Amino acid sequence: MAAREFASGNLLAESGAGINVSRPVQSIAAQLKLALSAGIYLVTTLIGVLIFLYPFLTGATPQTSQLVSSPIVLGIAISLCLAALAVESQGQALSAKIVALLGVLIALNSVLRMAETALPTPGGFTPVFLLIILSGYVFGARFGFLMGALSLLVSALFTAGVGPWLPHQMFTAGWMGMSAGWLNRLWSQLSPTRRGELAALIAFGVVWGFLYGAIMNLWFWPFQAGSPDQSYQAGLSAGDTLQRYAVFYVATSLAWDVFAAAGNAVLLGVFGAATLKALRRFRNRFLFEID
Amino acid sequence: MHLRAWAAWLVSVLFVALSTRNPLYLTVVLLIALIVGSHGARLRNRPAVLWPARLAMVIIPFSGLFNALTVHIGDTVLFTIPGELPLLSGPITAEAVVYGSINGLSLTTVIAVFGVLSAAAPAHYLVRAAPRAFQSIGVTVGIALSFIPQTMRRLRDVREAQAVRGHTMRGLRDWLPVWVPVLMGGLEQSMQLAEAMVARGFGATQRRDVPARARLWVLTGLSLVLAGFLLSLSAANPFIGLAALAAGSALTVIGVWQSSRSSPHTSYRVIPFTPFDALCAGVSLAISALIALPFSPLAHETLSYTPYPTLSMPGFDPLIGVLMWGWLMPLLRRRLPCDN
Repeated sequence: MAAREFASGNLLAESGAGINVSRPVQSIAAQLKLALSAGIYLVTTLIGVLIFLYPFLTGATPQTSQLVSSPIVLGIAISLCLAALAVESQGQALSAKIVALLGVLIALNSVLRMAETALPTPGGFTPVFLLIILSGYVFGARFGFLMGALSLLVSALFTAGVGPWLPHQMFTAGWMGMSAGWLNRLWSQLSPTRRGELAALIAFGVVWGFLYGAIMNLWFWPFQAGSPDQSYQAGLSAGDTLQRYAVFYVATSLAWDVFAAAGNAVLLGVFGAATLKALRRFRNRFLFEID
Repeated sequence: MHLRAWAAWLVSVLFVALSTRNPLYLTVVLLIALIVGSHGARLRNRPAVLWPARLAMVIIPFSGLFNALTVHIGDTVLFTIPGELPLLSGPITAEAVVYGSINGLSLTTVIAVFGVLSAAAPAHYLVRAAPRAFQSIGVTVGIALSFIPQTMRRLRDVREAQAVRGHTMRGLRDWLPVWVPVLMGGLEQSMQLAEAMVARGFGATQRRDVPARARLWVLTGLSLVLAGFLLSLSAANPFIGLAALAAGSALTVIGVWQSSRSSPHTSYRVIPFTPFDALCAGVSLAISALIALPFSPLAHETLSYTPYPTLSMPGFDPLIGVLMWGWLMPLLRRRLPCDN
């Protein structure tokens, strides 16, 4: 049985392992494929980080910054990264179970986002991150990335949320789900009995409540016109730029993100344990295969 | 209209909307987006798209107020906030109010233009238009889109069932008995769906992995994009970096295209790209080229406008104003393509 093969919890990475449990020595072609795949993940992550963090690079002059950082160039670059990641994640052979599970969880998350749009919620409070964090935590980093990115895509189609900000939202939410998968690995090493797991998830949710807002601000901050002490100006040192961004963040987003962070904490505290139990139960059912 | 025609329309209108800071042109583009979006919604038997207008009523005053309170530049002083309040103290100027309001108008216009696509093109068009390389992702998105109404129904059913049992919703904790059955029901449904997909042959054929050559194209392309970014930001001549960016983008697209070729795919119904679609796409792109490109014979300098340092009336070229109404061409389409 292959069920034990999935004990690590990374559903996508392990999919297909049921065919052959013992791993033979990999051929050169397989090793090449693996190396290319790892290279694509690495380069797309680097481009994604660069797209968000380029304002803090010291080399940018007003001319070069204006040329490279136009919304169209950045939008094309981040869309290419998402396309490459989408193709690559499919190369890992998405089974019918994973496709169905992902589809249904994304539908559930889209309904949560619609409810958030329809009902008045305070500040950045949103229930969307609950399932992204928990499914990434239970099913692994790659599943979490797809869950985050596709949840934002599908719910945007229903809530008129399609816009130049969408690829950035998809990338950031994908990172959130991916890092939730890493948290699982980290926590299983720190605490093999999984004690304090929910507290760790709540802390993770609080951090991402602020981080999501702080990262998403960066896609438009360089183009935002405003007070000189909180606006982006190419050519400044990284420290000065960071200081200006910090002022901008505190003035415009901190109060909003406090609600997002508190919302994540409350939702994970109230619904986290029951949701984790349900997801784990179904993970075991999903992964049960007979060779 | 065909999705490619909508894409051309969107790119064309967005190009001008992002190029201009003139509130008069922005208002015309916003009006056009509202009219075209409402027409598209009407074809799909949906209510007119008025939310961007409501959004404008919130965003424009808010942006104006925020800019006025934080930017104290301009000749026309309305009043002064005394004291040493950080950011706020200083003269409040009419120029800052107008500049902030234009920011809000610009943002609303961009959102409204994207809203046209959401209103006029059904979500399954977008899924169908996905390249073959994204087949599994496309199926996932398709499942999600078709399960949203079912999930909403299940949510309502569970709420009603809990209400019949006397369960009342007072706080967040009271949602737990609703949330768990909805989640479990969804997971159970995904299990059944997966079994049905396998029974119908999903993944039964030999799955072709992404070819190594396609991966190599993508990796090379993305590496060039990364190098192009770094070069453009650091080098004295950013055009070398931009060239690397363009070459890298092209190589990545080639890689994705090669990956598409290796994915077997059949279509149940193909939405045709009609001569009308071609005309609409061509006219839309020609309008934006005439209006915004530097070689244009029109007074494209009127596209730029700044209220600083002293408030003035923005310029308006009537020819540009008239040309913009050419973007109303999708109104000539009287039915959705799938009704053909």
